[in-house]
Amino acid sequence: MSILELRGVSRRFGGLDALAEVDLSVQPGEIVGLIGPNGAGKTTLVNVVTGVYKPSSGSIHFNGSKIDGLKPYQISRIGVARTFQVVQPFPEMSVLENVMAPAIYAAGLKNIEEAREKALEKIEFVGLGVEVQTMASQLTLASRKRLELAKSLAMNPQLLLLDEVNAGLNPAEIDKALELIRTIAASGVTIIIIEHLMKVVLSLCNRIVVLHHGALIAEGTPKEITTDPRVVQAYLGSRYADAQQGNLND
Amino acid sequence: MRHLLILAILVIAMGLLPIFASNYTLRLGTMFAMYAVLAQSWNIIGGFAGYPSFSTAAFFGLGAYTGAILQTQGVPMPIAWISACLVVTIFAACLGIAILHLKGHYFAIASLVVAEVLLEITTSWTDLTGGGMGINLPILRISIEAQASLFYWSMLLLALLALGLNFWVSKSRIGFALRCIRQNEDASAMVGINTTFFKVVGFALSAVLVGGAGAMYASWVFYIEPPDVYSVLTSVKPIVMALLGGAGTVFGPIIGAAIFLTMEEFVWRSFLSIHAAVLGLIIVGLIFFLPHGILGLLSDIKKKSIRKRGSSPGVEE
Amino acid sequence: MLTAQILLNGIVLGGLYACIAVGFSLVWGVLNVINILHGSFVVLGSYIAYFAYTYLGIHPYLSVPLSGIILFFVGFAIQRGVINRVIAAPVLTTLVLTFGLELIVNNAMIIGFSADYLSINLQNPLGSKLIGGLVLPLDRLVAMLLAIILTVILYYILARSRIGRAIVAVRMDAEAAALMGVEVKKIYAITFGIGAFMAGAAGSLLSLVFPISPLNGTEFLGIAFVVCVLGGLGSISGAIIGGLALGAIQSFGALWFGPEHGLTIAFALLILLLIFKPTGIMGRKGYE
Repeated sequence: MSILELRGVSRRFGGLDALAEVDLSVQPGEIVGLIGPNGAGKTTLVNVVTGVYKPSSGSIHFNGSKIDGLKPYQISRIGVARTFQVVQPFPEMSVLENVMAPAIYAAGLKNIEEAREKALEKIEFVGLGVEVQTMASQLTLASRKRLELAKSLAMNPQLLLLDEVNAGLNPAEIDKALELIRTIAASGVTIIIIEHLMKVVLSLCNRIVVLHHGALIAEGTPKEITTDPRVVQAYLGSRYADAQQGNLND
Repeated sequence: MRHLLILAILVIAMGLLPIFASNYTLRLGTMFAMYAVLAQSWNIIGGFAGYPSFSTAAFFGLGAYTGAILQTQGVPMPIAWISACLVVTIFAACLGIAILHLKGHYFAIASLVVAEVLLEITTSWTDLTGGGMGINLPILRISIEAQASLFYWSMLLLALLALGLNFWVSKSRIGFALRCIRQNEDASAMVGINTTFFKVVGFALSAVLVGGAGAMYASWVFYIEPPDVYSVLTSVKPIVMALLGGAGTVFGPIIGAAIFLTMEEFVWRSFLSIHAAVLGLIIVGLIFFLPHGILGLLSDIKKKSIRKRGSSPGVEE
Repeated sequence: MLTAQILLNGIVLGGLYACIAVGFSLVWGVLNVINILHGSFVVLGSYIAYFAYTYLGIHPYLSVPLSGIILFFVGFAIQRGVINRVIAAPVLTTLVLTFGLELIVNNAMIIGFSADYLSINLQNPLGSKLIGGLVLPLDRLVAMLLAIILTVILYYILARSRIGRAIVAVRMDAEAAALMGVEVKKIYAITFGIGAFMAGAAGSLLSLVFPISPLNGTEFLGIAFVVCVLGGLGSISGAIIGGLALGAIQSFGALWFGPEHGLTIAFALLILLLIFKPTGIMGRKGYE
């Protein structure tokens, strides 16, 4: 059974179709890359899946149950987590408190001690151990991104939606982030990642989905995507695609 | 632990006040306790959750009239008080569901205007409420001194409950959720917090004791009329007190209430005709010089002195 | 014909309401400050008109520029000196601050003018005319027309003048405006001054319609609130439509429930709107 299933999902804002009849099926354990030009609807897709918006039409199923129409907090509790493109911490709380919140409310840990332990575990995992008592507003951007990741992990997600986790990071930080994501995937979490950096997408994902003007114009393996003429025209550009073909063939 | 000891001593001292204090002092003490109830209650929705609520007057007035009407129907005073708490809590929950989706100014206005509407309804519904002529409550057949002590202790109890409520909320899941909501409501929803539920609960908690205070007030003064108990100042003063002491802290509001009452008594006695203006000046001064209240100021001073002394790694509050 | 008369009364009143509200709406939309002093500004305008008429024989409508300008400077000074210092503060802070300032101003007015209701009795009132079965109170009608004209002038100032466009820019994005060289704090002070100007002007126009007393301030403030929520924030057309709508609703409400409930009807409407449609009948989103 697919872990996430979108059938004919559309989302309209006024006259604009941010999402147009998107069909998508994600299997457990996949790492799916979501790419496309700016305004293609990638973040809207994440917002619709996580309940921030209701789809104007179509349905969304998570592990077989209908989730479109549920509120964001309900979707967080059933195992879907996401990070924000512009990070959303609780600025006046420490890193620890920030991560304890999802542990208590989304993962449902009643015991404060349990929640604290779980939070510490995830904070260590993302490499923020030193900053446990630091106030979120004092963190660097890279650390805030990691905090965001730790918070989503504290929710015990089965499905993790990452929205441009690498924006604003330098190459060294990006490599570390990639390692982290791989480890998360290896532990069984299904990942959908929105990314502009093609090197990340091509090396990380086993399947890529391309959005353009709200519609899903292509999906397939990295090799298939880089040779798909529609994708090349809409997003990649032919020189880049040819170069990538070279990489993938080696 | 030391704080609890100081608190216990204060509470006992205040409890013993009626033994050696004059009726006038007891009156002041009762006012202080009432102010503390209002300020601490507001703190839950305004300080912890960060929602600028101006509905204290609505809750207070509704509680006063509920208590008064029940008492004139022969209901014993304590039952009338508890019923008032109940009625106001239910009202607050319903109101909360209706207006807590609003943010900022819109929420503030909505909460403010509710009292006006209640005032008008109360004034028009003469059969039930006596309208503009007010309600006379049945007199108690005990001595003036005994009455003073009775109302003093009752308000004091309510104030302790309010303090306890703040303390409990600050340590509980509810308090944590409200704090998250104040700092980032969208992110709160994303980490699994049912923001509507917690906001409504917070709002209702900020009303329950205010309703009781209103009912007690009515019994205490024996006569109430709509502009008396639905006054907009009843909404503004608790906010000023909480801001004065430090909104969002557990003890800030009651400290603010003490300071405010002292200033108010002094001003009333000396500058009656301009007391509104002086209150206004206090507010302006507060906003400029004490933006985080007294407790905030003390905590800033503490932080500065820690930094000056030089912090060694591992030394944390 | 009764309906038409009631409607006419409502529209006449509504034009005046629009003038009361438009300055308030501008300040709220641009500075994100709810000016609790607004009602008192209107009352001050009425007092200026009263004294101008009683001691100088100036007709209230002619004293509009006078009260407008005086209030402009009062407003400018208050914004520059006091409110600008906390302009970035949360809603609660600015609201409580303007509330405190209002307490001071209102108390000062009560001491200075006493709370007694004053009214202006014109030597040569225009009276009423009967046209097509409808009673037209001419003084009020002229007041309403002047109110609308003032509002339209404000609209053109905002749309065409440099200052006006700077104000609109600040409303849309204060940071971007600052980056483009706009002195945001000065614009805030000017906008607040304009808001006060419109309030003072409205006060002059209203001095023939409402009794003059510091105790009326709250009612004008309430009207301003309701019009803003009805018509949507920060837009002149919204204030006009909201004002006319409120005038009409109050007029019919007075018929059905009695005239003493006018403000309550307005407030009940306000709450219902806030609960169900806070962006007002124009559907435009204002600042939170």
